[in-house]
Amino acid sequence: MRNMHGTKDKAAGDFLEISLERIETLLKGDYNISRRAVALLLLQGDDELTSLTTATESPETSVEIAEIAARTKAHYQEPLAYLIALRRQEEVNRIVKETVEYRPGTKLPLRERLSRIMTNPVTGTPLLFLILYFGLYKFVGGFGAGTLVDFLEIDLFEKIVNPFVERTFALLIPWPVFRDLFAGDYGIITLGIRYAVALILPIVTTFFLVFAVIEDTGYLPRLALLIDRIFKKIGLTGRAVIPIVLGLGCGTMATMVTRTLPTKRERVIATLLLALAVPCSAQMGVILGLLAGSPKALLVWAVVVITIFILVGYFASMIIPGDEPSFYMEIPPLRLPNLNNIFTKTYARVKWYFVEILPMFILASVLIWFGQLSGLFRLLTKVLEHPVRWIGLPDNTAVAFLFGFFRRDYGAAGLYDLKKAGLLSGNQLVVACITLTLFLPCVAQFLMNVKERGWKTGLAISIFVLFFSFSAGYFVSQVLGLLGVYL
Amino acid sequence: MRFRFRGNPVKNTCDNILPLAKLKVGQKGVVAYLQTANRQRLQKIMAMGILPGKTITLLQKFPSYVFQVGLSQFAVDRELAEAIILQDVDRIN
Repeated sequence: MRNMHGTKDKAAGDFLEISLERIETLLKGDYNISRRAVALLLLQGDDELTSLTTATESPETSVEIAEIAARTKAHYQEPLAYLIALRRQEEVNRIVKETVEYRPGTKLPLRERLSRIMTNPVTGTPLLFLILYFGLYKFVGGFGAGTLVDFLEIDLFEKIVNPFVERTFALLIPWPVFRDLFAGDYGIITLGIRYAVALILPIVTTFFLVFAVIEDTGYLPRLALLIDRIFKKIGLTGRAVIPIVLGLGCGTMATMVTRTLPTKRERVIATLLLALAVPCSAQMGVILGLLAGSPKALLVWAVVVITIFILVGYFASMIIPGDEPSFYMEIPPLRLPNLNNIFTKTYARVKWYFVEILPMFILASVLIWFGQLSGLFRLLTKVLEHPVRWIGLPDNTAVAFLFGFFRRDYGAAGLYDLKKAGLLSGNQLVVACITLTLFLPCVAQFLMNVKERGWKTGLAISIFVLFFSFSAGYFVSQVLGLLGVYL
Repeated sequence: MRFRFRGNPVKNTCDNILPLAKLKVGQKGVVAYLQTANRQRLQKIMAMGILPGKTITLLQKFPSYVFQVGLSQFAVDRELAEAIILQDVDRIN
């Protein structure tokens, strides 16, 4: 066996071994793992196990173990965890040498060459845009938000479901007030379920399908290393691409996934950016639909949202205290995704999403119905009309913003109806889309913010987002006006 | 506080001792020791199985450092790549 230590280190190595043996003989309790493992963890200062042995063993034994650990620690200049890792590595090397034969091929395999193409910025950046263009724009935006939504909205709901529901409820419920709860303009079935099934379901499903494929090929870690330098500028590391890209699907789910980020600072910044500048797939689908006729408008929207993403991240990283994060990530080999896994994963996510949002949509319909009946909404809409007018939009967009708080996509879908009625100019549409993209996250994401970040941070983020979205809308409408741009 | 952890005793001090960050793409080296003032960084490096005696090949430097160790590949930022000190760095092959 190759000795990795010099003679001095070898004598020192025995010290570790003797300490381990002494602790092993001292231990009397049953820990379900070998005494050796317990002793190793104790020497490495494992908190959980130290308190467990202190509780199990006699006080004298605990004191003696602590003394041995302290003496062993003092004997070495390196931390014991590091030395033990070295020993373990030596043992692994010995076993591998005896049992594994490995002859690498001389030529780079195809998957390795493909991987290099993905991680080289010169070839990787265009590839990223290709993936975004075909994966998001064409498949989610075009097929999901276009073809599928048209089919479900027009052919299914407008032609079959809605007329049927309206006729049925007209017969069932003689009072128009209660009939409206189910079948009116904002009825549970004609609006709530229609939005959920015909608008949101196809968009979210196509997004999760694309995301699952991207995830299973191993592209995400490669994107992470490509983007790490940029993300460092906004206080995050490449690791944060996973929650951020997932946020393009569902911000609520993504906020939950920020748990995977190693420091609190990163988690707060990621949560803020998800709440402000990362549009979810439902929103994006509707926005792509709204701006589809005008590539220039779409460009302005994208540039403004991306700029805000970077600027807010940059200032947040300046303000929020904490250490600079460091980036490290395993790059697994590229793999061909397994179709079965893709479908299982997509199904599970869509199901999670749907179970989460359907009650929310129904609740929103009921609240809107009640709000309209009681005049409360009229009041709130009146209040919201001021900032809406301030950013140069017609008064009735206030309704879309109000509903947008219940779900952002719900609000965006409301804009869709306004555009169909021809009530918005090109500039107004862009300003409305930008403001709504930045506007408060849906109720579900707000609750998730509070749950993951606590009341103080969660609420602070929401208040900031509320003011920032309208200020940004105002700013964009003024700049467009000053430049004389008409989109 | 500054940690400097020795593994293999360095046989020949002028034998191309370099941090991973200074290697050229395609060069190989054997990990000599890990040098960082930050305990968390040290732990991250160890978690990747980068320990003295392991051979590392640098695959890419920009935008992140990508290297091969054993049968695995990892990406790290500059700070971590500066902390991994290699010896026996060969010429480009």
